[in-house]
Amino acid sequence: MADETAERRETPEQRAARFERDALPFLDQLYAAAMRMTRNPADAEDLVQETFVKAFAAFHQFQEGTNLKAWLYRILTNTFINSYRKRQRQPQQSASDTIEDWQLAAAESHQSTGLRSAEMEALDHLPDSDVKEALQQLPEDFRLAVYLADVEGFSYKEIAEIMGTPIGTVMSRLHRGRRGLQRLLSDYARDRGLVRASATEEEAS
Amino acid sequence: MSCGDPHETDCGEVLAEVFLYLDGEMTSERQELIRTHLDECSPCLRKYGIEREVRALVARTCGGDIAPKELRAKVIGRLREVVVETTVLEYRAE
Repeated sequence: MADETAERRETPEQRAARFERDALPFLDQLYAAAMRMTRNPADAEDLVQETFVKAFAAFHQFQEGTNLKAWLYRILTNTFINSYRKRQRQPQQSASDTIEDWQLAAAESHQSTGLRSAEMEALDHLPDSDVKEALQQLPEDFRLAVYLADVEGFSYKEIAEIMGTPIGTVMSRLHRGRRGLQRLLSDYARDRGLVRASATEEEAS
Repeated sequence: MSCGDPHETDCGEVLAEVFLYLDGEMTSERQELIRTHLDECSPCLRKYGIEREVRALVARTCGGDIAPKELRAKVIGRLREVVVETTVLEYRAE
């Protein structure tokens, strides 16, 4: 209650100062997330700017003491989904086809255990750019779930709030995203000659 | 893939829940059961190790981009514009 009156008395300049102090420190993190979403620096910059403007416009509604980082990520994600994705329209992103193919692939390899130990050692020698690229190749919803969990360390509940989906959906996206990522990483390792085909067969037998 | 020894918790069950365990998204009792199983069962432990490594690899390589210097200035510039607009509106409202 006391906060509410304080906020109402706050001038726009004061609110801006508070916003710059509390929200702006997340600039780099939001930019990194925007890079994973849009996959190019120019779009990522635009998305981050739009996110901060929207967040500032809604900042008087934000309750101090609650999770500012998750709140900002939610605005980022919504902005991306609502205005950004439509503009981007990359052919391979045309939604449902990708997901269906994906589900099919996931179902087929259901028995597969993912990476094997021999491949695991090879992963340490993969250039960082390969790992980033593998993540970029995942369908958007899976990519985002994996990013929010593994890089940002958000809880399932927070990811559900950020992505506006039930927790069960978050878990399934994470599961499939991580499976897909392992498969891609193992392909990269093999393409780079870091794993001998025989090494994986020996272990499988 | 199983070590063949009997366990209190089934290998399949453990492998299905490895993510939850890694993500710290289970009750402490459940966590305890999984931990006990991983201590006893090396195939499951190896599988768990791989999941953990991949997770760490993603965390290490897929974040940490630094925003270009100009972006900070651009954002602050946009905010200042909004502040001026809001102030004018509030002034008019009065």
